[in-house]
Amino acid sequence: MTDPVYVKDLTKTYYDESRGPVHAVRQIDFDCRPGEIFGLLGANGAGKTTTLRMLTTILKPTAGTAEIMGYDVAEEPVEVRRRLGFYSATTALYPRLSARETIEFFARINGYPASGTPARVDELIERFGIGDYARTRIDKLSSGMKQKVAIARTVAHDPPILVFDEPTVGLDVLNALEMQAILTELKAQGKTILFSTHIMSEAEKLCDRIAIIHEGRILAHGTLESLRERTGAHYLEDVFVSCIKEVS
Amino acid sequence: MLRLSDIRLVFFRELRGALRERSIVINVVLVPLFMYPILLWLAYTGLSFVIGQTENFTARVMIAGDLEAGAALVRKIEEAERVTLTDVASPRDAIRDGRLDLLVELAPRDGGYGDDFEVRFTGDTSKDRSRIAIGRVEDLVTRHRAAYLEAAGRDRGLSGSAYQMIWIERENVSSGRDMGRFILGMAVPVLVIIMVIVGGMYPALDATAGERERSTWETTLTAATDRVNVLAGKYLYVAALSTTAGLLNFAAMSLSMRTLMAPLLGDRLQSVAFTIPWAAVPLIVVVTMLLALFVSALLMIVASFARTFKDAQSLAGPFVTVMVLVPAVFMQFPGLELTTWLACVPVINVCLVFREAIGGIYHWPQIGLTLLMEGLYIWVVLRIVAAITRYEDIMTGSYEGGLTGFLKHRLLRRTP
Repeated sequence: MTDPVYVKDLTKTYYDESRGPVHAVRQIDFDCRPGEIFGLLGANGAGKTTTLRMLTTILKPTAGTAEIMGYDVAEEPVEVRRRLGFYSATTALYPRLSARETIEFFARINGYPASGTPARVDELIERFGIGDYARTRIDKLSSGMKQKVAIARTVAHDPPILVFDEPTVGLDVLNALEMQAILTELKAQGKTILFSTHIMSEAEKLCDRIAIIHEGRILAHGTLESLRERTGAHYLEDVFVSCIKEVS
Repeated sequence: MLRLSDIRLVFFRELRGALRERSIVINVVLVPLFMYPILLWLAYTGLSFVIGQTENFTARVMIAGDLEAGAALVRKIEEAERVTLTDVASPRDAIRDGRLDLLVELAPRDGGYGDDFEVRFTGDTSKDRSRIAIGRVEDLVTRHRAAYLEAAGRDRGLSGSAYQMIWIERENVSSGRDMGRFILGMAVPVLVIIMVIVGGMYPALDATAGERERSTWETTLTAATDRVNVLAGKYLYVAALSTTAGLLNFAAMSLSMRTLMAPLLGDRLQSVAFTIPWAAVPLIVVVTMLLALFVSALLMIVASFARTFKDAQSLAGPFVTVMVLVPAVFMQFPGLELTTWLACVPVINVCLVFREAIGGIYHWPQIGLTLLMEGLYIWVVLRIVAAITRYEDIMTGSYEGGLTGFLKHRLLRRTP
């Protein structure tokens, strides 16, 4: 059986009018195994978001391959999107739709069967405690409420793979903790989760395996234990710094 | 690959959102239904007031020269209504300054029958008052001459009819319905076309630049459907609202034209019937839809280079102005017909088909050509959309240049 996420020599080069070609991601390799949380750990501008945007087919790779459940991100983007849910701070909700309408729209457009959609929407409303404001317009909701709706819309079509790009950025401690609890729960349901962060403690707490990404390259990847062994450092922060020092 | 169910989902998602957005509802429904009829009514009422004021003013006339030569005419001018005689030091300067409306100079004429005299009018035809004063006094002079001729003829044993030679008879074959259609044809097409453009503008900007500003564009791009379905859903939504605005305005204008024209037509209103032939309605609907499809695609292209709704408004402003002004100017000419050449000019061709259909005139070859050309223009614009959206940074909204820069550096040079 192939891994849910398989990435080989993935490269992204932007063309900038003033700067010319910009190499955002350079020949990275990694894979995610079924039911694990895989963390992409890196500083701002390291290439995490670009990598995730390629895997979610928002961007097209310049070179290399990436497969989601066996579907190539460049060749079969619709099949790929059908099998994953993408959550990010840049993927806002439609402000004029209600929470229920939002979840329903994403369930339907992502291929969830029409006959099962109402029950699925009810289930998610119940699961995320959205019931009190399910019929309220998104622009009237608090950020915590929006966060719940955003997660519900991400999982609306019940995809096997979930991609979270810095999901706790901008959240207060309680909401960040709730997000972490949700990720753990989704993992327990058997979802494969690809997750990017620059917060070391978060990666340490949640991830089964971690890839350290810096200037578009993956410097090291493996379990926290294997990274500790490799660098001789205990804390993830030190592991991270040690990996960067190795290459600079 | 096109998937109708996904297009429908995107279309209704956009529509649902739009119906909850006050500015869109105002521009697409309320403005076409109420604002234009109300504005027109105010304009026509104001116009009829101004015309009334102008027609009823008292003209200031100075008579100079040999008053004895035309004493009888002078008396008539003195007695005329809405004419007052005045005397100024420098009449030509007074006319230029607007203190005097007309100078009438009388002089004996040599070589006539003894009592002939010359009348010279000096006025300023760039001024309404002066023009009207000339008309009034000229009318008095003409009637005075006719009375003189009749009296002279009578003295020689001739009846008035004996020296008429030419008898002018007038007959107007246009019915009240024709007059109504003429008036509708002059006013309605331009307003409907303006509404199609204005009605499409807000949804087009909202569905593109507005989404970017709200950071929902990337959310939309994660939907598991081909991007062509997302674009098609949005495009059809914009075109639908644009068509709706145009047709609502058409209905509102057609139904309220009688009331709108009442202040201007006065008593003549009873003889004018404002009806649109039912047979014209399908053609009007079709050309309105085609125009909406064309305009919507253009607006979406322009707006796709903007990062915020405000940016998009600035970008679309000049484009909308040209699109509105060109037909507005062209349609000022009542004699303009749908010729083969004009059937090839976008927007103008639709205006003319619209006007002729209201008047019950159908130049079918030109109408066919108009439909064909509009279809061709829509196809060309959609091809441009397809070429533009192939660029990833345009599609994701990260392109930082403008429309002109894009055309120059990308489309023409084919930079990746």
